Amino acid sequence: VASLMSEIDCSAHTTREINQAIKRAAADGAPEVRLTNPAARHSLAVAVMRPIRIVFDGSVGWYCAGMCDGPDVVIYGNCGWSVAENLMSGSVSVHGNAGNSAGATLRGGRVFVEGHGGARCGISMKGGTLVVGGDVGYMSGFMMQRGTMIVCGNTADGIGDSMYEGTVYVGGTIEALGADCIEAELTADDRAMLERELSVNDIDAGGFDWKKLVAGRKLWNFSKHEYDAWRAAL
Amino acid sequence: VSVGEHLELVKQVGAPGGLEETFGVAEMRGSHGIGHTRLSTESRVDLSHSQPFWAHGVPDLATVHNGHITNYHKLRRRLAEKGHRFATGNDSEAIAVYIADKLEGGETLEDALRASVHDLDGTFAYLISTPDGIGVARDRFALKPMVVAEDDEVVLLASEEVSLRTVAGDRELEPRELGAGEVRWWLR
Repeated sequence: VASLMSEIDCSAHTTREINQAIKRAAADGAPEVRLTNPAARHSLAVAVMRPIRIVFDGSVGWYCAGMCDGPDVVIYGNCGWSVAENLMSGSVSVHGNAGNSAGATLRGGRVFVEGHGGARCGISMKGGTLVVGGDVGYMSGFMMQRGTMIVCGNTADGIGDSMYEGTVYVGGTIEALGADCIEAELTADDRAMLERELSVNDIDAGGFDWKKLVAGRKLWNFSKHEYDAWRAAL
Repeated sequence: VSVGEHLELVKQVGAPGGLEETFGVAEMRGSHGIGHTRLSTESRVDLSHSQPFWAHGVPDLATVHNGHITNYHKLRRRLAEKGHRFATGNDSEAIAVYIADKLEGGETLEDALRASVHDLDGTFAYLISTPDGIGVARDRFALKPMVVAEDDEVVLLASEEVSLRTVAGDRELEPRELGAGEVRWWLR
């Protein structure tokens, strides 16, 4: 695969060849690489450590754009489990649905899922921003430590379970809060941030009934006086 | 082997391509079908332990399963006490027998699927094929993958979208992950 290649037909290459070509293009300073026929293949565009725009024309599989620092990845299709896992900086935009664990252990940058997310969206987030245009599944935001998660749709059971810090905003209905996740007052600054973040994706933040979720902080330190809270969490 | 009046069960040890060469699966015609490629983590690698499983003595019912049924021994003992037979030591077989027991007891496929989400412990995403249709269930923690895509003509289910793309060709699909504890079923 030649370097500085601006378009790669995935059907003609192995996953290793594709990822090496992306990294070579980034190292050579190419502004963009476009990938056709990804066919929901796993582990594409992983560990890209330089700024470059990477565009997938079609669905990708598991672990797409994992362990990256700097690229802007756009997926015109769906993605499987763990898209943008541990992203340090840059962005990942999924113009379709996502599987489980989108934005898992996110540390920085921005992840956008236009459709629905699966279970454990944003699990163990440590920074960055995760925006989901649709619904999220079971235990999303589990053990969140920092960062911002914005869900325009509804949440399944267990949202924000055992979160330490960070903030979850929900525009739809909440099936049930997770252990030690509580609703906080939505401020004018929160509304301004939501308008700012969602305008990036042409979503009008005014059309939602926003709820702000934060940690209740009862699980920060063990206390036998909070026995019921610990029993529910464990 | 033919199991019942509607179900044709074909299995082989080896790569999926070998199954096509031996049995010409692509030429088979029917309203629905299920398949499975097994990476064995426990129990034997042989024909009887490969999937799809059928419930012995129960015609036209087969399952494929990804996961691990942790209350297998208790479930098997309870079903055996009711007279059901088991041919293997594989936990996936218990799902077929469990569903067969429910259906024989007069429950609908929907009822059986919903009950299974609570009665089966562990991780699972499984499909079941009956003469009337097909059903799917996923464990309450969504620990095993299952995506579904459907339109007015077809229903496609698989662990991963890459499999759907292989089968669907150029058909427009909008796959989504099944929710935790979600069950779906489609009848002819």
